[in-house]
Amino acid sequence: MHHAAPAPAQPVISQRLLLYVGFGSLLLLMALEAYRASRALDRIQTANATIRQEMVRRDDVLDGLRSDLFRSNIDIRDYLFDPDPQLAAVQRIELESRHDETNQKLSQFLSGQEANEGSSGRELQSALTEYWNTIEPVFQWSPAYRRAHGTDFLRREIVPRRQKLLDTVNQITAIDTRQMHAGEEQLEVIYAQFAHELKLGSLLIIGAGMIFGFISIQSALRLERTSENHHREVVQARGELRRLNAWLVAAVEEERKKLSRELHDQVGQHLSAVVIELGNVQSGLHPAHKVLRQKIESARNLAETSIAKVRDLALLLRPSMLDDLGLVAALRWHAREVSRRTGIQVEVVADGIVDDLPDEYRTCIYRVVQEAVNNSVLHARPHWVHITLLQRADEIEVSVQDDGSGFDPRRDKGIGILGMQERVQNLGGLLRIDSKPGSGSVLSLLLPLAELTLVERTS
Amino acid sequence: MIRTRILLADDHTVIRAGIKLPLERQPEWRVVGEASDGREALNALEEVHPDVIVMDLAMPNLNGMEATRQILASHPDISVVVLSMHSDEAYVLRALKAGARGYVLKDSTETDLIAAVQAVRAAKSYFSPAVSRLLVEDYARQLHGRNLEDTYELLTNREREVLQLAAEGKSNKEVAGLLNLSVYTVETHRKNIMEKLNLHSVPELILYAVRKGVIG
Repeated sequence: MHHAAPAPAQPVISQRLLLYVGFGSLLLLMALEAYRASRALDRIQTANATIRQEMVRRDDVLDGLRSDLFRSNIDIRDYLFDPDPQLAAVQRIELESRHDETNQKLSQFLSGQEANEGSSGRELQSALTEYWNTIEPVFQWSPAYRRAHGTDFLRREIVPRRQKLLDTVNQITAIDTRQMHAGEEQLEVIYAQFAHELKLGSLLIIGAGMIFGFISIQSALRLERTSENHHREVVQARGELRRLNAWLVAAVEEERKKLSRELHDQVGQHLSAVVIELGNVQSGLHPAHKVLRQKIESARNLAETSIAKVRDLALLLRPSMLDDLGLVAALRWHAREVSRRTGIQVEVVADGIVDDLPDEYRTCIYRVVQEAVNNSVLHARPHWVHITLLQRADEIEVSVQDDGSGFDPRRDKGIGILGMQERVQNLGGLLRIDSKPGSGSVLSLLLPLAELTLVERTS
Repeated sequence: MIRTRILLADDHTVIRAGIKLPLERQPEWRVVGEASDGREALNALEEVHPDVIVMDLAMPNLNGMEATRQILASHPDISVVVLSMHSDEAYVLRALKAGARGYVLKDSTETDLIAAVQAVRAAKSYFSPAVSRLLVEDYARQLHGRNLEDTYELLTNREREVLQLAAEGKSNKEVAGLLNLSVYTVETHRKNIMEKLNLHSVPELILYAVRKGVIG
């Protein structure tokens, strides 16, 4: 199970790549579609406007042409039948200018025409030319001739030609209208096609979005599961580590106890026996054996020194008082030892302590206090150190206070403090350190005894 | 004629053998029995009727402290000399509280042990010089370190006399006889001494006397 942990790394990376590419192309697709749509809309609108403008222009031209024709008709009639030659001359000028106007409009019309629809333009041109050519000879006529043949000429020559011209113009208008409708229809087709494409594009985007969304959700869920598993593993590992640590601490203590006992009860006792026996030999010797007595004396001194060494070593490993006399006696001994060694006043205040704590509690408190006092004496150079024990119904509180140089507990958190914390936490207790550089320090630990009394009551 | 019957209680045969020799060399002393733990010592009482028991503190089954307490509860006339590896005052006080009058270190000389047996036979207390020296030094350091007034200075000359005699194990009646005082007066002195020195029991009084070098 544990070795499987690094395996998911590869799929996670490729999946991440997939998601990047997926969402990237999705965004690109959306941008592209939006651009295409706006372009298409622009085109449709422009085409529509162009068609209508052109239509209106041609319509205007043709309308003008139509009205010109009607007015030219009136002008011819006036010219033909006006008795006053002067007025007839004015009518003639009028007619000629009408001729020019129609020619202008024709060229306007022709210039707006496209190459492929030339037939209607040519038809219009020939009809118009024919119309004016028919009128042309009239200007050579005398007024009398005009009056005699005018009516007939109008009826036979002018009216049919004018009609033909009007028919041509109307025909062109009809064609134009048809063409405009066709353009509109084409636009509608283009628009429908565009709408269809837009729909398709949107569907594609939505579909892709859903797919990538689904993949992302799956991936997020998987990541969540993985991280949950990791969290569980970490918690489990931490618990295991704590148990292992507690076991280690207990094992070390047990080993120390054994060694201390062994040194004290075996090595120490045997050395004591050696001292006693040497004393016996010495006192059994005749006073005359001066040299021999001296040698025995020095051997005895050596053995005594060894006993002191063994005793110190045993106490250093684990003070026998802790097991023989209880916590307070052991703390008092430690305090005296430190005072003796350093000259610093180390005091234990332990009024009203029942001192019937189980071994692990005694050991925990003793070791923590020992560490705290040693730290204080080594680093803080205090004048005094006070060790205070307070026992309540369901907890025991121990504090180690000094007037030394202090320290910053957040910064100078050595392995010693971690070890103390570990010990205290193993018994469900709390360790607190209050100190500031320059103002002494207080270490306090609180061990709950509630569970303990419960166990003891039931057992 | 045997005047002093001694029982040795120690779980180490070599130690018993080692101390037996100098003790038996004393005139009119006899080692009447040996026990390898507290329980054996208790059981041997009716058979050997010892006057003095030399008792190791650290023994299996029943340790020296507990054995001393039980023996003295049923046989208050027996004197106990504790034989110990520890010079620390916690052990000394515990031994005194258990009722032992002599406290001898195992690595001290045989004359030390003989002096202890002699002292307890004379109803006095005895501590190995190494032990009393340590007690005196620690106490002096404590007084100095705490800048405390030496409570001994509070005692009158008469109270000091009573303190010494009481710490040596004399009863109020004996003290009264020695100082030509009434028992009632001696009792009052004792009460005052305990109050001035903030002591609560005879063992504490003895320990105090040793610490001050009044006895040793």
